[in-house]
Amino acid sequence: MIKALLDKVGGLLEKEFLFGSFLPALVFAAACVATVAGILGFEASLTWIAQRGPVDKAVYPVVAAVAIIVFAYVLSGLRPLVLRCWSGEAFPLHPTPIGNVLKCIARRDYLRRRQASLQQNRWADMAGWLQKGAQPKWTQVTNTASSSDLKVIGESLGRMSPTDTRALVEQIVTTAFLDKLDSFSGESLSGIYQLLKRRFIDWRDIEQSRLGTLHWQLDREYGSIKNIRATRLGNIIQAYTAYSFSRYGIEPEIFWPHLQTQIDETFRNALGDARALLDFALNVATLGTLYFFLAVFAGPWLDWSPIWFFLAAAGLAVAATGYRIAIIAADQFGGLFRASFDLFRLKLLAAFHRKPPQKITEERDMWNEVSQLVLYGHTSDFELTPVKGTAP
Amino acid sequence: MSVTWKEAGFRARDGILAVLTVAAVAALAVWNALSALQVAKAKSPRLRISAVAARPLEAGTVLREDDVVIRIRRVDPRSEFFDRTSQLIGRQLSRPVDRSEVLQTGMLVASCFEEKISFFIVVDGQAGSGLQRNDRVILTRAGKQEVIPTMPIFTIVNVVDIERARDDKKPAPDRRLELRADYAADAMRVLAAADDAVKFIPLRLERPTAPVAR
Repeated sequence: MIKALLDKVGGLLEKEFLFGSFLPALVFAAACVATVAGILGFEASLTWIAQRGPVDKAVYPVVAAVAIIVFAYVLSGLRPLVLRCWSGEAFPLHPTPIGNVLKCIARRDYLRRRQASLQQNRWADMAGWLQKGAQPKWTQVTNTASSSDLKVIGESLGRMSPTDTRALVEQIVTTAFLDKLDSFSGESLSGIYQLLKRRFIDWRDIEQSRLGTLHWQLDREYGSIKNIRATRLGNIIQAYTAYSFSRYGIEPEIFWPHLQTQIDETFRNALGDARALLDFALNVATLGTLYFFLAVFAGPWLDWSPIWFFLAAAGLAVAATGYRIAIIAADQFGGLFRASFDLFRLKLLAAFHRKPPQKITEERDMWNEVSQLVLYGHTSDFELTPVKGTAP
Repeated sequence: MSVTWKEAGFRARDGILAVLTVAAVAALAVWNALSALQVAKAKSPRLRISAVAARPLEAGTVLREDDVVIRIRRVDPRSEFFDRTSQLIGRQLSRPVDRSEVLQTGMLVASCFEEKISFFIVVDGQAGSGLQRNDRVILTRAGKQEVIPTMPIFTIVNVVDIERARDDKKPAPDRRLELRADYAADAMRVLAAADDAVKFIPLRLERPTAPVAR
């Protein structure tokens, strides 16, 4: 009994609860009290406090503290619902027309970015194309290009830019350079040739990097097309949730609790910190929104004043900031979530008494077998490896 | 190359419903604000405040020269204020008092820190105060030119001496006002409905005599 009580008190001091739920609840309560005090008059409120008797002065803070702790616990308990709401998986964004429109905007963004990321690098073989075009003509003539000829060629080629289409660049290079090899020797134009080749190699590398970044960003910010959510936060969560399945065939929502038992303490602490930041940001966003609605709908009834519109705007700004922070925190948590599967999945597989796989395809098959058992109850007769001191 | 809205699964019905939903919430917020404004106007008595001020009032507080008072004119006779005032004055006079009589009766409304207390305030003279029949006064805290919304108590005051002096058409030999504080109300609501901006001007009163015990 006493141990259970101490555990509860100890739980109050956990950083996830303190930072994730208690702090936003405290700030929200303080903001509400400050608002009411401001409307009634700070001095009046202070006077009212000063006039309380010793019993009141002793009891009120305790009651307020208990109320805030209870509120924080409720907030902590509502975490899954709050996360679903901000992810666009529950009311007010699902299933509603606003949610559908937002989902449609997100799907369009996904499709556009996927299209862009799947593009071929148009400068991939440009240097090779230049070489092929120049090689047959390189020694056809022996005339040497004068400095004015070189200047004209340089100016013509200067019109090219990496944003141009491949066809346009090929046309400019053919006209301004390759055709000139019919009149001047390759040796005399070798400086320009080297410059062009270097430029095309640079363009190829830049384009490759851009496409890689697009692909990486798409992978970090969206799951699959069938799991598009109405909000950016929801899509980031889908992105890291889809990771373990797309890489290893691990069902993340099923095996995440199992995996947590295999994660070492340092890593678990890092996950706890990231989750606390995400909880904090989501609760700030939620309470900011609640403050906004209170200011808009309840405020004018308390005392009609234009200040409620400013307070509502402030609540909305806080909610927006909280949501932005939640996106950053979700991305950070997602990185650690992915890394957890990368680093500790084989330990989990060993905990299932499966032998270490030799190939990634073999590992996928193993996870599929375990998934079939855990998720669907299909008991295929797969092999178990005896672990020292335990039965297989 | 670009992805069309149709390809992204956009449906016009969703778009229209989304716009209507946002518009409905916005309209609800505006309607709510306007309703609150209407109720705030209707609920509180219409008052015109020409002066305000202050120091703490306690039982037996005496108005001083540097006191400043809120002077409220044109209280809406339909307001609840007069119902309560009638009862209070009636209790004080030990006879029924109706609204019209309250309106005719010169009185001052003062504020203090404790609820439901009774006390007398004695004011020596009212030179320069400009206080007259049908004026109502709220006294607020010293040095701070603001009304304390939670603390003040409307105090019903009979300005018997002034009225008597005027009726007799003689210079008041002793222009003492006996103020009786036994009515609590929410000054905040009264002030929130004031037509004019509150101005802070000192009420010039002569040095007080000792408070009169009830």
